[in-house]
Amino acid sequence: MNTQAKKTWRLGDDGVRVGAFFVILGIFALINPTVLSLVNLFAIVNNACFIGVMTMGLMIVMITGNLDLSLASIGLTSAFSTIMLYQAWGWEEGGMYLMFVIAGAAGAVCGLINGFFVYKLGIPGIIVSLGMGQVYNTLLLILTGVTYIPVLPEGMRRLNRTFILQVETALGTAGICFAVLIFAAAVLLVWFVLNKTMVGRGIYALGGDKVAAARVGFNIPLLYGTAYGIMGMLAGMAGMMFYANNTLFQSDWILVEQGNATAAAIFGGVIMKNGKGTVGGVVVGILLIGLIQNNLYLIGIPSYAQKVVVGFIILTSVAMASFNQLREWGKSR
Amino acid sequence: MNKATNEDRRVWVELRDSIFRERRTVGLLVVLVALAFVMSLLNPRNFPTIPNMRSMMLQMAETGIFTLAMFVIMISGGLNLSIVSAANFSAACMASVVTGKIFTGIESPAGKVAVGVALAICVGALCGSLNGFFVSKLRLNALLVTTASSQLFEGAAQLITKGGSIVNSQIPSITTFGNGAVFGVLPNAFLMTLACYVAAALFVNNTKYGENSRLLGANETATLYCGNNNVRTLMTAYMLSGIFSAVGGITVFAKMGIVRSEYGSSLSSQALLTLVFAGLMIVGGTGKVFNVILSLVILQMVASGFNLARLTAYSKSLCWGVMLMFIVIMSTPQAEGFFRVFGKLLGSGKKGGSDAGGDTAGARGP
Repeated sequence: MNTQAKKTWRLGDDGVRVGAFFVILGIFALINPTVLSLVNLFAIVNNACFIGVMTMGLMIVMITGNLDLSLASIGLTSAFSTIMLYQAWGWEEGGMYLMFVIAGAAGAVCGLINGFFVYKLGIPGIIVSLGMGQVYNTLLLILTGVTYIPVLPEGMRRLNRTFILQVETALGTAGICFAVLIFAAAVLLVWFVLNKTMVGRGIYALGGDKVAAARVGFNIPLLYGTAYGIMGMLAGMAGMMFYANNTLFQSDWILVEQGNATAAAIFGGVIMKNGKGTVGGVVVGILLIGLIQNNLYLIGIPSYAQKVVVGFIILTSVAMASFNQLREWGKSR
Repeated sequence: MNKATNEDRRVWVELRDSIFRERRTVGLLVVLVALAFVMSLLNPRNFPTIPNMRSMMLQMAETGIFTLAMFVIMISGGLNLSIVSAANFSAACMASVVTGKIFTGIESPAGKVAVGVALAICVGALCGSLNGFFVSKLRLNALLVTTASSQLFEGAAQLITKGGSIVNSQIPSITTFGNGAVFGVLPNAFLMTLACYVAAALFVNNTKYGENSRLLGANETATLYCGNNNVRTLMTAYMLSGIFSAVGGITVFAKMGIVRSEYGSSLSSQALLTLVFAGLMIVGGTGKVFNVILSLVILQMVASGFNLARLTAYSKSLCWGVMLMFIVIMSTPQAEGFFRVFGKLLGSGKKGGSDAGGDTAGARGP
């Protein structure tokens, strides 16, 4: 009734997350003011796109209570099949927009396969993703015998040279890449599905209690299908974005990014229990991971120390989320 | 019907029931023998030889110890995705002692090794208790915690190795020991892992802790009402897991003579595959050490067979992925119908139907 009035400042709220982001940005800026330059800020956003699209997909599945470790593998297999299609068709120019459609569709198929196993056979999502991840990683590569493509078609390589906004500054040209639009679209899509549709309510309910969600009358296969379909689609598009930015295909490069996506989702406050997690929080998480990854060297920390900083921040944020949870439990008792 | 045939029948029924109860073990044994036969037939020159056995045992020493680290967590119903990074972290600590980066006061190689091993095991236990604290005290999802902490441990290892690797050129006897073998057949590392397995089996089967962790995996709410100290059980489980991870790290370091922070990223999914193969389900409450050893040998045979047949690493991981999916699908309640038909064909109508979680029940053991 008067929960609104009683709402107090709590660790683990999205506001705290935003605050933490700005505090860290502030510390960085104090050490090296270049961090706040437009060139650098745009670079952070540009580089966050790929992880961002992937994390948005991961988030929607984590809310249903399943961790998926096969996103990078889905991205790999979708990007690979798209590249192979382009080569088979002999497309050199053009097709910059179409590649996202094809990769997204291929990814959605992979995601739905995962979702099928999770829903139909009740296997925990992590086991499915470990098994199927190995399959996605290797199946196409074995079938075609190709693991390395030195030069991607020109249409794909054009992605990181296509800007939607360019500003001349003292430090050089600052530009926002086309990929940012894809990221924005992914955020909008996930936000819309989770907050404005009945399916979204169902996905949160599913994460809270599967049996209760079924009793209330939610269409469980539809919920799993939506969550896993969107996850796969976004993973496929992210994979395409990754390889297009690298301008070449090397099979296992993308696999290390899985950890970063999981980390961003966890920092964003998706705790895989009771259906918690907001789009806003996850976006902050993505930007924070981007900030740390791009800028530690600017403040004089060597790149090999990057991961320990990321790990520490994530573990702290997990602990913060738990304090919230424990307090809620304490109140209900 | 005279008495003798009655007696015969009773013995037969008992035998049949015990085979049915232990059918996971029996099945694994059958697969093991069949696989050994097929592999020997396919590679008659290379497979059934002492050098191949030796290299298989050497590889199993490494995967086996990581499987054990996952096993102690999995019987209590959790998962630990940070075993490999914890292992690399502890191995990096040991390597920096051995190469004289820290504790420079120690002069003798034996002292360095002793301090290094002790430090590695302490670091492993510390990593484990960090996970345990988050899971038991803060009551967070084990998957989430261990994913996050694996980033931290990997980062810490990266910090120590400075993003590259630490090579042990100071004390070559470590590498000699790691690759050495008793009587030229049984690798030292393998014996070490075997000792860990025996210790774990004794610990899990004969102590109150083992009982508690099984119960915790089977039904958490029930253990709370029984008044079990779940915090202590989980802390012990994660500490054990951390210590086994550290032993794994030491094994890798002794074998390779080198520490890299990103070593063996596929080992944790391999450990999970081995355990699922051995009949442990992710919900916990079950687990037999003997089955784990059997499935370890089977998977190693597949891997070695693929190597000997000169297939790529890609096809090996594809094979593992497919096997994992197959085994998991066969263990689901939905596969019950299949088992029922199969049981009727075999004529054991007694338990075929009530066998929803059949494999998990079978693996529970005495």
